[in-house]
Amino acid sequence: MHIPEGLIPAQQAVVWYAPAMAFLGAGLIGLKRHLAAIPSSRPLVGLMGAFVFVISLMPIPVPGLGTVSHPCGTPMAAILLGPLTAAVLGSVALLLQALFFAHGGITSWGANIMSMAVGGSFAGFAVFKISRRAGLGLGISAGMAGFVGDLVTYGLTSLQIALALHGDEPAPYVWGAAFVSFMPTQVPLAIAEALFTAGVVVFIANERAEILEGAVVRP
Amino acid sequence: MTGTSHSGDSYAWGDSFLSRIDPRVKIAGFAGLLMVNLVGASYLVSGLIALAMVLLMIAGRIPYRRQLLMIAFPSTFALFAIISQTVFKGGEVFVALGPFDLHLDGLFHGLYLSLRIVAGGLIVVVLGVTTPLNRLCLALRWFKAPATFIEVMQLTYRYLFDIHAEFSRMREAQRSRLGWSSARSGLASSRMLGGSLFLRVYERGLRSSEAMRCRGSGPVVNGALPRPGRLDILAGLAVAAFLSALSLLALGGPA
Repeated sequence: MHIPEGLIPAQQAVVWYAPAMAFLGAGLIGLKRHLAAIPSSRPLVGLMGAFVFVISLMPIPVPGLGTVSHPCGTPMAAILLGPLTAAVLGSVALLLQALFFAHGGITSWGANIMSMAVGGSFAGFAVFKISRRAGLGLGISAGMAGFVGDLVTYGLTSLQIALALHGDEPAPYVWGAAFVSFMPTQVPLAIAEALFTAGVVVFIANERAEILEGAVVRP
Repeated sequence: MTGTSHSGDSYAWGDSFLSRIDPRVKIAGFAGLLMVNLVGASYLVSGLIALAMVLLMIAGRIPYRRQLLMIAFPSTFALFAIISQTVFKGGEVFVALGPFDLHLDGLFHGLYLSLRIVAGGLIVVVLGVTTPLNRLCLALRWFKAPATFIEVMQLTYRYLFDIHAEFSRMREAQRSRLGWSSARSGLASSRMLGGSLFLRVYERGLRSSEAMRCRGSGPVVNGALPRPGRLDILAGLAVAAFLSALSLLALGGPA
């Protein structure tokens, strides 16, 4: 779920923008170097950006909360290209979705970057790396990355909504309520994202292993 | 890729006056409107912005269905804002529904928030629907957005169409072989579809990228926007006047 234009107060929008721009800037510096060194990696970067765009634009209604939920795609991008590049791709996808589908917003772009592009990418990538180091298989590691990345994204989005809308209630209480409201749709979606991420990563490893070995842009 | 046939920006390529306005003017003006909408803290400011955007959409003949589709997402959140504020924000209780007290102050604040969300959504809709991506990218470049960011934006946009074309073809082929006849076969088909789609589009992209490099094509961002014309200056002045009026209202007007 992307936070729409106008929901977050101006001060909070600035607070979310600051770290989002830092991650985006760092990701762009790394990506610029990578594209200059390996120009042939452009198709992979563009393709993953498009994948994130498509995957995160599948609205599924959330009962009770009156809004929609969707998979993220950023954990898969982080496995293939590294978390900072995945953060850049997520940011681009969010901007295009805001402009062409009013899905998200411009002043809420920073908040959406922090939850989906940064949170989903880094959580997914960390889980993938830890799982691989623990000796788990590629499919299981990728699946766990998809599952955790998805839930972390929604945990952060729920926090952002709670901070913006808690009114006179304690923010942690509203955060918990929002997160629980997402669960009926988000857990099945996280499982679907896990299966999809695992399936695609294993398929790529079997068919074109060099994409997994050579393409990761190091953070 | 022209982006005219099945793309999201087919209207933007048309000959409406909104599409002809220089994207730099639109970006600067709409950024100002977004800020005023957010910090204005006034029903009147957000209401006037929403009204102005609706009038612009009618005057620019933006297709109705497109407008409704795009405003659906912000509207669900607007509803959510009303409900959540009525419950969470204190003040006078006007109805008690089981464990929930509904507060009058919260209801009014929720209504204001929902107006702000709808107005903000409409600003973004008008900007997005009336500006083709290539002109938007050139304008962003003019505003000194990083070239790598613009390049990734253009690459992403281009691959969306490749994914769309391959996806339709492959899904149809799977369906004709009963690949989606049950939940089990559907799951297997979706994984196969995801992986194959990725590889096919990737290989197609590699070939076209290689061909472009052989032809000497450089980075994707190229070209420049023409100098602003009379329409652009008029539009800029109109937005500046509107923004000034809104700012005065926000500073001294009724909350």
